[in-house]
Amino acid sequence: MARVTQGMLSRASLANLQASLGRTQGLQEKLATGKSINRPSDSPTGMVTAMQTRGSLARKEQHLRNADNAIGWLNTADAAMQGA
Amino acid sequence: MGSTFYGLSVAQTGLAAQRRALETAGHNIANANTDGYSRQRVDLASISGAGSGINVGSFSSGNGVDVVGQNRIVDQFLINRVNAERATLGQYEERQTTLSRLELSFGEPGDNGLSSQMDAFRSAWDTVAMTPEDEAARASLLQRGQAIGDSFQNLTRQFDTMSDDVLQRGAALVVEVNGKAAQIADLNLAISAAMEAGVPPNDLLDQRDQIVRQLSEFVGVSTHQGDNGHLQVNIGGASLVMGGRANSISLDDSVPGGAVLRINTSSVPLNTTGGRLEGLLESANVLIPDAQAGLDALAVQLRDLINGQHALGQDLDLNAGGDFFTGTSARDFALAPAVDGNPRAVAAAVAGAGRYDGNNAISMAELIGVTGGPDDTYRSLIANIGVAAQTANQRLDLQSELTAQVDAQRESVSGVSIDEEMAQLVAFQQAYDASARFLTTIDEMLERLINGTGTVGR
Repeated sequence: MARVTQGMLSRASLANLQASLGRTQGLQEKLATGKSINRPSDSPTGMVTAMQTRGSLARKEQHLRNADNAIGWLNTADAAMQGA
Repeated sequence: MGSTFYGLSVAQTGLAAQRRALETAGHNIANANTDGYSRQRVDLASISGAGSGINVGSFSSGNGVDVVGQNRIVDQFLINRVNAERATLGQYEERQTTLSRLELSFGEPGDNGLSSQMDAFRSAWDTVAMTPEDEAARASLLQRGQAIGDSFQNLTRQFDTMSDDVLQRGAALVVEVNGKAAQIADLNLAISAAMEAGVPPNDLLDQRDQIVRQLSEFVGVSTHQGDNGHLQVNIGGASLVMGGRANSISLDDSVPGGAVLRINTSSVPLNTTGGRLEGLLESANVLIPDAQAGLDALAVQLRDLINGQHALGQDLDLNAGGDFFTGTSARDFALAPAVDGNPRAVAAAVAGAGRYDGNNAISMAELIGVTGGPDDTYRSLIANIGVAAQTANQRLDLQSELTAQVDAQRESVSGVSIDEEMAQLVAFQQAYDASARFLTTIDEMLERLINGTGTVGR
C-alpha cells in the first residue's frame, strides 16, 4: 500500500474542492445568463448553429419589414386605383 | 578482554544516536507542512565488537551504535517527472489564457460581435433597396459599414495589446528564470561546501530541488547530477547552470511574430520544451498571429466582394459605383473615401436602371450570406478559435490532474507522515530511556566494583 501523509489528504481535498467550485462557477454562469453557450469554447459546433440561427433570424425580420413595406405600397396603389 | 569502563562508551553511543534520531523526527514534524521538504532518516549501524570490544572469553559483544548518515528519502525519477509535468502544465496554462482571451475579444455570441454587425449591414442594404431615394437609409447603411470597420480595427488593436502583454510577461519570466539560475548556482556551491565539511546538505538539497521545480514551471529544463553534489541544469541542450556558474537567458522580440529565447548572447535561439515561456512564445508567434490572419482574410474577402458588386451599380447621381470599403487588412479596414460621409454615392441601382432602382442593393444583401461568403468565413474563424480554446481547456484540466497525481506520488515517498514520526518518537524515546538505564546499570556495577570490593579484612 502506498504511503499516505496528512499533507496529501489536505492537498487532495483542496484540489477536489477547487474542481467542484470550478464546475459550480460554470453552472452559475449558465444560470445567471440563461445561456448554455457563453463563449465559443463552450460548444464550438453549437456556436456555429447559434450564429447561423441568429443570422437567419435577422434575415427573416428584414424580410418581414420588406413585406410590410410592399403591402404598404400595394395598399396605396389600390387606393389610388379605386379613386380613379 | 576490553576495558571495564567500555559499557559507559556503549551507553553513550546509544544515547547520542537515539537523541539524534529523536531530533530528526522532530525536524520532520516541524517541516510537515513545508513546501518541498523531504523527510529525513538517520541511518544507524552497529559498531562491530571485533578487536577492542567487551570480550568475555572468545566472544565479543558490539561497541554500540554509530550514526552513519542522515539522508533525505527521495526518488529522483519522481522528482524529474514532477518537473516535466510542471513544465507542460505551465505551457498549457499560458496557451489556455491566450486562447480564452482571444475568444472573448470577439464578443461572440453577442449583440456587439462582428456577426451581429454583418447581419445589421445586410439588413441596411435591404432597407436601401426598399427606399433607394431615401438618403437617411443610405446614411444608416454607411454607419453600419463604418461599425464593421471599427470592429476590425478594434480587434486588431486588442490583438496588438495581447501580443505586447504576452511579451512583457515573457520578459518578466526571463528575469525570474535568471534569478533562479543564479540561486541554483549559489546552492551548488553551498552544497559542495557542506559536503566537504561533512555536514548533511539535506535541507540545501531540498531548497535546490524546490527552485528547480519552480524553474520548470517557467521553462522546461533537464538536470543531471554533476561532481561534488553540483546539479547541472540545461534548457534545450544549452547549459543554464554549470556548477557554481549560471548563464542568463534573454527574450529577443526584435523580429516581429518570431520572438525567441537566447542564452547569453548566442545567435542560436533556444529550443525550449514546455514551460510558461514556451506557452507565451507560442501565443506571441502562433496563436495571436493566426487569429489576426483569419481576421485579415475576412476583411479582404468582405472588401473584394462588396467593392466588386458595388462597382457594378450606379449611385443616386447616376455615376458608376466606386470602392465601398478600403484597406489592405483588418488593421486599416474602413469605408472608402468615395462613400464616407456621402450617402448619395452608394450604388444601390443596377447600372442603367435609373436612379430609383434598388436591385444592386438587393444583390449586396445576398452576397454577404452566400455559401463560402464572409458570414461563412467568420463563422469558421470563430469555430476554429472555439475548438482551439476548448481543446486547450480540456488539456489544461487533464494536465492539472496529471501534475497533481505525480505530486502526490512524490509526496507519498518524501512527505512527512505525522503518525509515522509519532511512532518513531516512541521507539527512539524508549531506546533512549533504556540506554540511560544501561548507563545507570554500568554505573552501579562500577560502584560495586570500586566501593564494594577490596574490603576484605576491614
